[in-house]
Amino acid sequence: MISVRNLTLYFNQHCILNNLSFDIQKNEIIAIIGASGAGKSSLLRCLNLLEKPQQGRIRIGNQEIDLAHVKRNEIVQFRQQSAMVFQQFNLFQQKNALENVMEGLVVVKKYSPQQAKAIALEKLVEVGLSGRVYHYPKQLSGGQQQRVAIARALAMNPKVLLFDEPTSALDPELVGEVLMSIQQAAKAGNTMILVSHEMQFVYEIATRVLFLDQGQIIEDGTPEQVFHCPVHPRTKVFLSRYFATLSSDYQI
Amino acid sequence: MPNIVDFPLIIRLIPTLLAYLPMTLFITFFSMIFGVLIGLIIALIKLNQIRILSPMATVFVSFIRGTPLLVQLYLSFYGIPVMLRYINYFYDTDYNVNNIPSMLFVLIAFSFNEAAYNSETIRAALQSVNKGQIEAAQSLGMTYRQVLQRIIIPEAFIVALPNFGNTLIGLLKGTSLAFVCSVVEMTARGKILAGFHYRYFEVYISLALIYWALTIIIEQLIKMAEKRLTIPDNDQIPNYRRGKLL
Ligand SMILES: Nc1ncnc2c1ncn2[C@@H]1O[C@H](COP(=O)(O)OP(=O)(O)O)[C@@H](O)[C@H]1O
Ligand SMILES: [Mg+2]
Repeated sequence: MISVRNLTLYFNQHCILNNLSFDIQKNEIIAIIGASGAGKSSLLRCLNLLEKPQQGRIRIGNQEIDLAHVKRNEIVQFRQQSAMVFQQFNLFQQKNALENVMEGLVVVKKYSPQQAKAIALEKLVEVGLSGRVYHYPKQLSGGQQQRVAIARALAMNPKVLLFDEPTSALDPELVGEVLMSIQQAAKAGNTMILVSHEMQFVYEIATRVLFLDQGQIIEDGTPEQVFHCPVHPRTKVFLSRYFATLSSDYQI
Repeated sequence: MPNIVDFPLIIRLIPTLLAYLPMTLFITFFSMIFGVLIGLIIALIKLNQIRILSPMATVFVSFIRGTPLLVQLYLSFYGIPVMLRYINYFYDTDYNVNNIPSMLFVLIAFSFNEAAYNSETIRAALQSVNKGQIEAAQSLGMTYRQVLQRIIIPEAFIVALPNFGNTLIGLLKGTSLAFVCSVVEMTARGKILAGFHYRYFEVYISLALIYWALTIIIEQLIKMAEKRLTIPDNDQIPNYRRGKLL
C-alpha cells in the first residue's frame, strides 16, 4: 500500500531523514514516536511532499514517484493520495467549517457544489460538528477546529491519513474530543500515520509503532513490543523519561 | 457690500461641474482596476524572484516612486507617440501618431503609477497570509494557481483593503492632473468655467467641496466593505455570510 525506499532529506547540509525505508499495509494504524527534533514532522511532510526530499522513492497506492526527479504536476497528483492534519489546524480563515471541508472536493476533485456539500456535511456530522457548520475558524474552539480539519482530510477520501501531533496545540480539556474523532476514523478502516505524544492513546489505537531517532527508525513493532520490551537503548531512555515526567505529574 | 465672493455661483457651479464627474470616476475606476492587476503581477514577480523580471520590477517601482505624477503624465503624453514613431520606423507600420485617444495616455500613466504603489501593498498583504493555510491547501492537491486564487488572494485582499482605500482617494484627487493630456474631467472643466465667469475662487471652492464629499463617500464605502468582510469573533452570528458559496 505505502512503500518508502531510501528516503533522504537534508536541510542545509543537515541530514534530517537518513535513508529511511519501510512499508505500510492497508488498514494499518502507524504511530510514530520520538523526541522533539527527531524528524517526525519532516517524515510526514515528505509523504505529502510539503518537503522535497533529495533522494528516495515513495509509492502510495499505485502512484510511485522518484523523489530525485519529480515534476510539478506529479507532485500535485501525489498529494491527493494522502491527507494531512496539522498541529496548528491550518483551517482556511476566510471560509466557514463547511466551506473548509468542501474546498478540496470542489477545487481538486471537481465535484459539483451540491455533491461536495453533501459529503462535507456527512463528514462534519461524523466528527460531531453538525451544529457548527456555518461557523468560521476563529469562532470555534481549538478542539472544534481540529475536528473540522479531520473532516476536511476524511472528505478527500485519501489512501492514507497523516496526523502531525494533532492534539499538541490544544488545551488539555479539548484533547479528548479530537482523539475520539481520530479513533473513529481508525475504526472506519482508514490507513493512518499518527505522530503523537499521547502515549496511552497510541498504545490503544496503533497497530504498529515506529520510534524515530535522529532521522532513523530504530524501533518498529507492535505497541506491546515497543513499549514493554524496546530493543534499542535510546528507545528505553526516551520511554523511561516520558513515563518519569508522567508519574511526577501524577504526584502533584 | 461689494460682490467680492459670488456665493450663489458656488452652488450653481456644482451641477455644471458634476456633469464631468463621470469622466473623473471613469479615469479613477479603470486606473484603479489596472493598477491593482498590474500591481499584483509585479508583487508576484518579486515574491517569486523571477529572473530578469524581478530586477526590472524593482527599477520600475523605484522610478515611479521617485518621479512626480505630473511628469509621468507628460512622459506618457509625449512618450507614447515617440514610441509609435519608432515602431512605425522599425516595423514599417503606419499607425497614425495623431490619432491616439488622449484618454489612453491618462489611463496608462495613472495605471502604472497606481501599480507601482499598489505592488508594495499587495506584496506585504500576500506575505502576511499564514503559511499553514497555504500548506493545508497544497496538501489537498491544489496547484499554486488555485492556492493563490482561492486562499491567498481573498485573505490578502482584506489585509490590503484599507491601503487600497487610501490609494483610491489619492488617485481620485490625482485625476485632476489629467488636463495635461488634454482630457477634460471635472477640474479641467472647472478651469474653463473659471475663465468664462472670471470667477476663479468660486470655481475652486466648488471643486474642493465636490472632491471632499467624494473622499468621504469612498472612505465610508471602504469602511463598510471592511466591516462586511471581517469575520466577527463571537459565535452569536453563525449564519453570517451563510450560503455565500452554495
Ligand atoms: N524548514 C526547516 N529548515 C531547516 N531545518 C528544519 C526545518 N524544519 C525542520 N528542521 C529541522 O529538522 C529537524 C527535524 O524537525 P522535525 O521534523 O520538525 O522534528 P519533530 O517533528 O520530530 O520534532 C529539526 O532539527 C529541525 O530543526
Ligand atoms: Mg513535529
